[in-house]
Amino acid sequence: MTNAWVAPALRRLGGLLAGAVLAVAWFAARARRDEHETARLSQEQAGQRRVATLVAGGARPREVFAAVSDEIARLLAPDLTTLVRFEADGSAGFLAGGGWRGGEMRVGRSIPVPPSLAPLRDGAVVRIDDLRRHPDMAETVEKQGLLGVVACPVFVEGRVWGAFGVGSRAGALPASTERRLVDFMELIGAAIANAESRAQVGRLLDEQAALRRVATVVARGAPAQEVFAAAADEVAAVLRADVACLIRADVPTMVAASGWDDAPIGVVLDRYPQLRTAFELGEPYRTDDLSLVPHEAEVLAGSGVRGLVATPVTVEGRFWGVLVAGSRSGPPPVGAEHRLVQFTELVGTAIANTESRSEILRLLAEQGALQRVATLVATGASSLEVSRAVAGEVRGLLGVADAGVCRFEPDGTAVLLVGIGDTIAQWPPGTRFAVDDMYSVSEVWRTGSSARFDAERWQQDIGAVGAQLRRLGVQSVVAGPVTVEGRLWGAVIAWSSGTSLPDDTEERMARFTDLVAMAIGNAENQAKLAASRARIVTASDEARRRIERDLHDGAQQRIVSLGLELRLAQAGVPDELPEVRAGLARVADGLADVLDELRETARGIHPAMLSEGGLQPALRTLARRAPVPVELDVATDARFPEPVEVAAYYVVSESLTNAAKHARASHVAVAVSARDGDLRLSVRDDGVGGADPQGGSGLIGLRDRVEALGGTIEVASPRGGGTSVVVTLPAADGQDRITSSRGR
Amino acid sequence: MIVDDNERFLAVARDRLMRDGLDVVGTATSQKEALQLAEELHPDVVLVDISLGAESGFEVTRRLVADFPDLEARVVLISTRDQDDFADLIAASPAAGFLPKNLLSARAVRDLVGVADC
Repeated sequence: MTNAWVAPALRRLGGLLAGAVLAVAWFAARARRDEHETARLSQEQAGQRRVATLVAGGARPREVFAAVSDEIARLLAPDLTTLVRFEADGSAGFLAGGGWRGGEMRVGRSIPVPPSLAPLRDGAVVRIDDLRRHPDMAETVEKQGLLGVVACPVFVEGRVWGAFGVGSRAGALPASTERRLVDFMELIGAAIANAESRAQVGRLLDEQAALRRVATVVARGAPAQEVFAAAADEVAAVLRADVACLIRADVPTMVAASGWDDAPIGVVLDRYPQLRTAFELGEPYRTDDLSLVPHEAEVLAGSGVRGLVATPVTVEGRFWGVLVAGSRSGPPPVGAEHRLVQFTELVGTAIANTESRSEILRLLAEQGALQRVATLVATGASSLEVSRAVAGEVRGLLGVADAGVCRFEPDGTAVLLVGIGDTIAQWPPGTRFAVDDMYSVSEVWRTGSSARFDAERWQQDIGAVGAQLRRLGVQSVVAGPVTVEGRLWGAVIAWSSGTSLPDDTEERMARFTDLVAMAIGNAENQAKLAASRARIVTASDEARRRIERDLHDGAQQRIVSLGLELRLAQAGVPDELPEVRAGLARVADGLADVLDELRETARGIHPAMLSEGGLQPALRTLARRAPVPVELDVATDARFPEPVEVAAYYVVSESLTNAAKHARASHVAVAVSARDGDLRLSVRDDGVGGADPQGGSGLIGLRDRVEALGGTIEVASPRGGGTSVVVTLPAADGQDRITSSRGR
Repeated sequence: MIVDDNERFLAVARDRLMRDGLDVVGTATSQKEALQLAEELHPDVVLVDISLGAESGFEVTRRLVADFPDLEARVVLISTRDQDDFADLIAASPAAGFLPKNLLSARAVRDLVGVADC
């Protein structure tokens, strides 16, 4: 061996060693960064999943705000959080938040929106890095010491509903703040939309039940006094009014009162309440503070009422008296007067019907029908079920021969979803026709209002369907619009042969179309929420897959190449230098260890096998690695959408971990099959059981993941009886087709 | 012949195998290139990386053996990932076997394909 050989060889070795050391350091830094990135992502997505689960479970907006505030506090650690709702008068009402100094913001307080934050109202995200440059925010800087602000609009049903903001006292907020906030805004919006539609249905049910009770009293021919009392009681209950009373006008008397023990019932009033002036206009009336209008207060003296709403009661076209709902604590709630109007109609009808009861019986039947449909809506029945119920009730109630519900499509056609009756039966559900084939439907489509075709007008309907109906003896057709959240969705149609449909058919039909609209609105919200949950899960998996791929293409490849180069160099070291050879071998071994660790990390982040070969080989690998003997039965070699395969993989992986770690099982059976395009998966062990089906962060994570994809998961774990996890994942797109409409 | 989408690895592997006395007649970075080169060069043995970017090494193996029946049991799958991760797919493929990239050597290749003279 000559020096001439040794020197360059050693130089080459030195270079390689330096390279190896650098690679290990680079890898360590890279792995730390990746780990950090993965941890941050999973933390963020776990947060979103937690909130989405809350929303999906029907949590109230307040719980959802609190949860979002918590998650954002955890993720961004802002000094201050705020959720406001934009009111019609241009102010912002404070709903939730934290970190404000000196009790500055109390729930319920309203403040004007400062110009710097005004773009929020138009749906724009606002970022301010130094509030001191915004004179309109001077007070916030001074009192709260706030410097950086990022705020996002909250959309509900496509409208700007409010805003969520975070603030920092240290300076500008990080650049990723907007993105992270926006992800949560969608969930807040869905929660609010859910709660609003639930509350709407709940109110409707209450009202109808109350109206029905009063109608029942009328129908059994109770004396007028009892009817008045029942009406007052129901008004008080439904409007949650402290006091409700009925005052007649001809001989000024209070005829009934609820919530006011020593009300002057039957006592003729010296003077008719001044309220009358307002009623003569036929409009509902409101006074937020009675102490400001003492002459109006006289009639309610001693009741303790501070604010009231009142509506005129008209009997057969004449002003009869007033119905009053009062609050002892302050102004009555917004919209109370409109809800009161519904009762005055009934009270008016009740009074008019002391002689004839037929009208009230009809009303009773209608209330019953409405209530049945509303109950269906409230239980979350699909829009198709509700449509079917509406067609049935409309047919039974309005005395029509046939009734159906159709949906407008963007291409100017209508699809019949449901039809009940003899003639309509010849068009099976799903039949599509051009709106112009039936003039009544086409008129609804063009005007968005109800349409009636009978007598001479009916002869002019020369559309294909119209003409055919006429040949079948149909004489009169009425169609009413179904408007979902401001856009025309479809129509309810009804027809009869023999005679013209009664004049009030449109009006009575409208009460049912409102319910159909509500059911569809609910279904659309649910579908949006489901899509948003699925997106969260998919985004998380996508990120994990990317990180695994980066690790593989970057660090792993580089270490392998370095290892090979080292071994090459090692082979070239002359025998006279055993310590160099041994040193190199140690470095090469070290690199091999690093590679092993890296593989383990990468495997934990995302199973590469899944993308490569699908579920079956991936599950075999899992089974082989499991510390418990696993009997695997995969009865399908079909490929499913990636989110479905990933979910199935994690269900098995988590269940196997649990079986080995907690259940002390000695045998696990895993079965996978495909049924009607769905993936069905079961994992059963023979362990100790007793796992909490709801609890355990692992199980909750699986439940989130499975439910986000529209699947179901059932966990049974009787003590001493082993644990079984059964999961069904829909492989097809599970969106409710009925929710598509013309507005899209 | 070696099929891998990582240039650096191609260089090191070629270096390593040549030094061990294996003649690396060509390298390819995609399925298309691999099939073309196999046609031109008639390699005795092909090493195929399992993770070829967007392509799959299993598919490349299948195509190679289908187009060039001589390569039956002469394709060796390689990867930086663990054999265990792909065991079923390797068993199901017409490849001679699997070699972790970090253990690449002429001897290991010869052992797998069971030929001494390649």
